[in-house]
This record gives sequence, structure tokens and C-alpha cells, in this order.
Amino acid sequence: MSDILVEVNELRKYYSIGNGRQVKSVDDISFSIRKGETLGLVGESGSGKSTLGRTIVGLYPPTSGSVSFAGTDLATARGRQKREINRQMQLIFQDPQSSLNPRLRVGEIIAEGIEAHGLAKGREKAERVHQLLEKVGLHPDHAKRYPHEFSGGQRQRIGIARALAVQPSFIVADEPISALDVSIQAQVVNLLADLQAESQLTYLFIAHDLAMVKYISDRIGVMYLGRMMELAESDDLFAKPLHPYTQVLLSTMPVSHPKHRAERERIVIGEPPSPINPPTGCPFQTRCPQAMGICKQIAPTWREVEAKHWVACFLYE
Amino acid sequence: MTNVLEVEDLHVSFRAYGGEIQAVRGVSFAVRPGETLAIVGESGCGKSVTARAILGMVKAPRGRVKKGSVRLQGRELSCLGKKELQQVRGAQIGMIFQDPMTSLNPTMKIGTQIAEVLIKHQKLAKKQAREKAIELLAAVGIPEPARRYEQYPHECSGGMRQRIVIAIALACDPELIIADEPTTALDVTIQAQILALLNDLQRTKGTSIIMITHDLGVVAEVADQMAVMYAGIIVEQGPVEEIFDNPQHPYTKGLLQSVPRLDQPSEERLIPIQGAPPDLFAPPAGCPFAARCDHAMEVCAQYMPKSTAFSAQHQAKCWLHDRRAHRVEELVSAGREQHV
Repeated sequence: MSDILVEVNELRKYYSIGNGRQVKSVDDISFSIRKGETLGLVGESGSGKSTLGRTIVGLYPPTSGSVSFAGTDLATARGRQKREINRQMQLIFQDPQSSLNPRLRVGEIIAEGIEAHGLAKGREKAERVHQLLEKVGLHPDHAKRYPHEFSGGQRQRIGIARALAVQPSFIVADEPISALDVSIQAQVVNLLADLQAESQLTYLFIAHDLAMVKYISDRIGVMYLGRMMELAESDDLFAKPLHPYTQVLLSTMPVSHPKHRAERERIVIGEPPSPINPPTGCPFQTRCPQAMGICKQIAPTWREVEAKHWVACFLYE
Repeated sequence: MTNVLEVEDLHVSFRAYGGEIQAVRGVSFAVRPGETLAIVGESGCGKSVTARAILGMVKAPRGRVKKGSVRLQGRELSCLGKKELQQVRGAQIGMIFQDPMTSLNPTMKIGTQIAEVLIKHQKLAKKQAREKAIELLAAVGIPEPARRYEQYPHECSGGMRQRIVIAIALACDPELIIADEPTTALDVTIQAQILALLNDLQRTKGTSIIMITHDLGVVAEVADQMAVMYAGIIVEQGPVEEIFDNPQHPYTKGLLQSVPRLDQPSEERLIPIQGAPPDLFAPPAGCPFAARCDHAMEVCAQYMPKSTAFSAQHQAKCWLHDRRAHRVEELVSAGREQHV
């Protein structure tokens, strides 16, 4: 049995914006996620990381390409099989205010998935809701309250409990801590880590805080204007970033201590181009300090240039 | 040299349905010339309200500065009228807000928005104001400033807009710039550029900056001094390096520990601060952090601790540093072990 849980193959998600123009939010992306790992996904706003996450779980239908889960192609799955895949893949959203229905009690929010998948009924269902609340660090009595009665960090815990309710094996966490205060972020990150250890969960963790992504992830993918630029083991990516964009991204990270200010070398680049009218060739070519003639003409291919280190850049072809 | 800004015992409250929210409860600090002071804290700690109070922008009837003094170069601001305050804002204190999307007027040309400030405060003629505005756009790193002058805010990216806001803040060579989360809405690559720009401008012009942020990375990047706010109170303040190396308040320690360092191995757990900040309708009588503090003693919940000085500028408000509280080190190390 292979240890690959999610396989993404040449996935594309284009949006039509009128006049025959398209935004290529996800453009020709291929990678796989191993069972039990955390794959971090970083990129600036508009790089398509959220669209990628949502297309993978099937929330958006792909324009072309495929996603397969535990060996089954999402596009061909039907009926019971499809429901089963839907149960196995869950999402945690960024904004804990708007991702919970304000008119439902917390218990009802968490129980929705349990009912939809027919996992439990009556007393057993209530029992499960209570267990889930305790699991995410809330009190069973909280099931009777409404979302507005909770703080941001607590609401994010409710969102996590809802995702866990159907006993998934794969969770896409889309910026789950970005809206939270610093002191609360660590609580939620530790909770996610504990749950992973407990239930062998696999995570796709989307974020823009590089230090946090490095801390959480086994591997990290770097996206830029809808394309995957580089994918490698976390330590490897930080020790030896290959793509010029990754190098820029790492150089712009704030220092962790004021004494490092003088040592840092910043690579300064211009403004990002519009996703509506992306550059030809490599999308990063307009800002790249090492761009060559060929970069303007064709897009580089996605290749494994070193063991487990993938990059799309002509410097390595 | 005299301080550019001195804030003393500032109290700000807001009336709300549930009663009175005591957003700022006795804040004092000073900003020296050419220095950057970072005010750090989580949402609701009162850091933005402090900035607004300095600028005289706490709006009646809901909000009220209940007590305290704000002196800009020795001149008391809290008793100034509306007109006089407007003269101070823009001319002597520049402002940069978090959201560059909403702090510019969408119906006015970019250039006109900068020139407006120059015409009002420096009494420049229209033509001179235009020239100076284009110079300013160039100074904040906007390419083709003359063309940009004629454009509207929606034609610019977020980073570009924040540069324009900075140009407006700088227009009259203010002594002090107050920047409220100026890079929070921006991507990291743009954030780095904006912070570098502020640093450069400060070096060339000698402007003092108050940087309000929740991001310790931003503090490490730009600040000379920092003040850590919690529930309307500055719990610790001092030189940035000293506080990063040797935080004296458990809350500051907690904040520094709860963000991962790049050299932190993934096996090592983050140390979160448990619980949540207190309700400011009825703030606790004692230290506001006591309920979440690993080292809290009985006294902490009942009486507000006094300030203890650790060096000329470094001070913190915590009972652990009271001379009657023995064995601080033991308490701290015992607390640490609990987490491991």
C-alpha cells in the first residue's frame, strides 16, 4: 500500500472575468501529500493558495487536471464512495466569525456533519458533541450557546471540532490562526499538533506567517501567481532555498531578535503583477533579480532537481 | 535633549450599552527625538486608542479622555481646541493608518490629496504644492511620480497606497509620526519594503515614530524602545534589545515564547498563554494578567503592582519584583518546568 493520501495532478482552476479573459488562480500544479504529514503552503495574497486548498477538497470543481484521494479520483467518484471521500476531507477556515452560522447553537453546528453522514443519532450524537468539545478544550455545556458568545480563539476551536466531528483523515486548514491574537495562536497550533498525533491526521496548512509554517510543516510548498514555485522538506527549504522567489520571501521575513538587524540582507523586488494580466513565461520573471532571456518566453517545468526538492526555474534546468 | 512627546497618566473610556469600557488605564511614556517607540499588544489592549488620544481623535460623546496629559515638545495638547488640534495634526504629527484602502479619499487624485496638506499647513501656492508633492512621491519610492500624481487610489496596489499615505504623513516634515499597524494589511515582501522605507526616512529626517503593532517581528525590525500593553496598561517598557533578551513581565515573556523562532525544532512545543484577556467593562482590581499568569500570587489579584526599574529606561509592573516576594527565580523556573 502506498503512503500517499492526496495526489494532485496538473490541477488548474481558472475563473472567467468577462471579455473572454481569465484569472488562472491555480495553474498546472502537481504534488502529493503523504499520509500523516503536514504540508505547509505559503504565498502572498492572490497567489492561489486558498483556491488550491478548496479545489483539492472538491469545494470548487477544477478546470482541468485531477485530484485523487487514497487512490480514488474525485471526479469519477459517485454515490457512497463520493460521500465517503467528502467525510474524509474537511476544511478549517480563516475567519472564525463568518464561518459559523450565527443562528445555530454550537452543538447543532458540530452535529450537522454527524447527522449528514449518519454517524450517530440521539443520545449518542449528543455524547459525541460533548466529547468533541472537550477534545478541543471547551466545556460540554458550551454546546447550548451561540457562536457570538465566544472569543475568536474559542470560535476557531469550534470550527476545529466541527471538522473533526466526521472523523476525517485529511484536513485543509486555510489560515486557521491568522485572525487570532499572538498569545492565542500558539494555543490553536498546539491543539492541531495534539490532534494530529492522536488521530494520525494529514494536514494541508495554508498560511503566510513563514516562521509558523516552518514550525508546523514537514514540507513546504511556495506559490506565486497560481503556480507552485518550489516544494521541499521544511528544513531544506529554509537552509537552501533554490527558487529566487523563495529566496526573496525568506529575506523579507522580520528578524526574530533586534540584534540580527544588521546581519540581514534584504533582496528588494518590485510590486507584484496583476493576476488578471500575468507576465509571459515564468510568472516571477518581472521581479526576479536573476531573470534570463528564456524566462520571458516559456514557463519553466516543474522538476525534482534534488532528492525531494522540487522547483520550477530555468536556473536549475 | 528634550522629549518630542510625553504622555502622562492617560485614561480613556468609552460609553457602551453594558457600561463604561476603560480602554486605557493610566499610560505614561516618552518619545525622544529620532527614536522609534513600538507599542505592542493584542487586540483590545488599548494601543490604538492611546494613539487616537494623543491625536485628540477620541470622539465625544461615546469616548472621553478622562485624565492625563499629552505634551508635544512641551506644549500641552489635551486642552487645545478643534482648530488648534487640526494644526498640530498633519503639520507636527503625521499619521499612518492600518488600512491603506480606506485612509485615502477614493474620489480625489493622489497628487491633490498630498498637495492639499501642503496648501493648508505650509501655505504653499498650488504650483509649488504640486512640485513638492511630486518630490514626496519620489521620496517614498513611487516610480513615475508625475504620472501617479494624476491617478486615483484605486489605480494603485496596496503597497503603493501605503507609500502614498506615508508621503502625506511626511508632507510637512512632522516631528512625530504615529503609525498604527502600517504593514498589517500588506504582504510580507511589501511589508519589508515599507519598514525599510520608514527606517530610511527616519535616518535622513530624524523624525520620531510611534509604531503600533501586534507583531513582535516588526518590533524587532524597527523599534528602539518598546512598550508592552495589556488590558489598558503598559506592563513593561524599555529598550527593545533589553526586553527581548531579558523580559521582566510574565506577559512579555509569554508573548516572546508563543511565537516560533526559526531555529526552533518542531519537536519543541510552543508555550501558549492560557486563557483570554480580561473584560474591560470591569477590569480586575489587581494586575490584569494575574488570571493567566503562571506565577500569580494572592496579592496579584487584589492590588495593582507598582513599577520596578531594572535600568535607566527598563521598567515593568509585576509583584514578582517586589522585594517582599522572595524566590522569584525559583518561582520562574518552577513555572517553566510545568510546561516542559
